[in-house]
Amino acid sequence: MAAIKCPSCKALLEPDETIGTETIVCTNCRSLIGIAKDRTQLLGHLSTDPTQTSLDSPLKIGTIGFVRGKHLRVTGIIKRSDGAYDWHEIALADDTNAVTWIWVDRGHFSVCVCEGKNCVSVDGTRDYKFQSQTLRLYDRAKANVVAAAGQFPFTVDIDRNSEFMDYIAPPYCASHEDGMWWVFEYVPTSEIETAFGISCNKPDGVGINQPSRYQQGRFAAGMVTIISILVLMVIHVALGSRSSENALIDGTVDLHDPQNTPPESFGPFTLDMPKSALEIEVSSPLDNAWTDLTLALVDQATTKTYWTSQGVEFYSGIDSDGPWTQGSRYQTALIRSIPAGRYMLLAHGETGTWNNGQPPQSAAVRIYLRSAPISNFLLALGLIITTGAIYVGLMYRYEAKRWSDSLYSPYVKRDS
Amino acid sequence: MKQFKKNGAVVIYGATCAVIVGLFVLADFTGYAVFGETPFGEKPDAQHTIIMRFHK
Repeated sequence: MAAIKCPSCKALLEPDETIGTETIVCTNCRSLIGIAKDRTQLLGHLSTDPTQTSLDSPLKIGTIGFVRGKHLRVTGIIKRSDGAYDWHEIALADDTNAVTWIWVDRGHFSVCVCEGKNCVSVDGTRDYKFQSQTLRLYDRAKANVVAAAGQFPFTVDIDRNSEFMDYIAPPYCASHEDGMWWVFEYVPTSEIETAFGISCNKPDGVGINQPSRYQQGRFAAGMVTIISILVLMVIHVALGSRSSENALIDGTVDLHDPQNTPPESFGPFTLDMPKSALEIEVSSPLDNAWTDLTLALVDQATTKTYWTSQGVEFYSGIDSDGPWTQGSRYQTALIRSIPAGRYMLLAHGETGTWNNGQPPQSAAVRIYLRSAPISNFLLALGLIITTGAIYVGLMYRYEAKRWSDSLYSPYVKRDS
Repeated sequence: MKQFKKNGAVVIYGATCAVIVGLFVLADFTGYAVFGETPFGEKPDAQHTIIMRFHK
C-alpha cells in the first residue's frame, strides 16, 4: 500500500498493507484516518490532552516478541477507559499477518485465545462456559477510546461508547462486546518481559483473571492434609501399644507416723525409651483428711533424681442444703520425659485432717508406663488443621481481593 | 506432583505439614509428651532434702 497524507495535517503516513490496515493514527496530529480502497477519510481527532491520552503502554509500536508459540509484532495500541479506570488493548500481527490482541489491565497481561461469536457457550443452566469452565460475570460497563497509536485492520470509532461485559474463570476472561466474544488468557508479567525483552512495572493488585496459586494447589493441599492426618493417626495408634496396664510400681505408703517414718522405697524398674511418660496414680481411703506424697525417682546408675508430689484430699459433711462432698480419694498425673534408666521410687507422705476427720493410715501409689499421650496427637492435629485454615483463609483473601472492584462480587453481600 | 513443583504456596504448606508431622513422630518415638507435668528435676527443696537425707 502506498504512503498516504493525513487529511488533517498532511503528514506522510505509511499504512501496513500486510495486515490490511483500515484505521491509522497520525503520529503528528493524532487524527484517526480511515482507509478504504486507497481512499482516506478523517474519522476524528483524539484528544491532545497528555493527561488523558498518554498511552503509557508497556509495549510500544513495532516491538517484536515470541509469545506462546507465535512471533508477534505490535501494530496498534488503543487505550480505553470507563471513568477513572483505563486499560490497553494492543494489536499484534503474527507471522501470517493475522492480528491478535494483548489486553493490559493495571499491569496484568492477557493474550487473546479466542475471538468470535461462538467462543463461549451457554449450558442448560444458562451459565456461560469456556472450555468447560463456568464463567462468572465480573463487570458490565461502557468504554471510550481515549488514546490510540499505530494502525488497525478495522475501523476504530472514537465516538462510540460501547457496552461490554466481562466474565471470568481464571486464567480466562471473556469479554462480550458488539455481539462478539474475546477470550483472554492470563500471561505472567515475567513471561511478557522475556518474550519482548522489556522491563515492566509490577502489576497492581490481583488481576481479574489472574490464576490463584492457592486455588491451583487446593487439591494438592487437601491431599497433604489428609495424608498428614493419616500419618499422625497411624503413628499414634502404632506407638500406643507401648502403653502397659501392668504397673511398674504398685506399692503402699505407710502414713501412721509420717513425721518419723523414713521414705519408703519401691522398685527398681527399667525405662528403655530415650524419654518415657509415666502415669502416677495415688489413692487413699480418707475422709475429711488429706495426704501429700513426695515422690522421687532415683536413677540408680547416675543417682540423678526426678521428683514430684501428688496428693489426694476428700471432705464431706451435711449443711442446710443436705450432704456434700469435695475432693477425691483418687488422683492421677502424667509425668513426662523421664530419661531411660533403672529407677527406684522413694515415697514420703504428709497428712492432715479437717473437722474431726481421721488421718489416713496409708496411701497406694502406682506407676504405669504410658505412650506419648493423646495430647501430642491432638496438638499435632490442631496445628495441621490451623495450617489448613490459614491456607483456606489466604485463598479466600486472594479471591476477595480479585473481586473487590466488581459489583458482582460473591464475597460482598449487597442489599437486593 | 506438578502442583508441588510450580506452586510456592503448596510447597510451603506441604513443608509446614511435614515439619508438624515430623515433630510429632519424633515426640512419639522418643516418648516425649508435649503436655504433662514436668518432673522438678534435680533442684532440691525442703521435701526433697528430707527424702534424700533419709535415703542416704
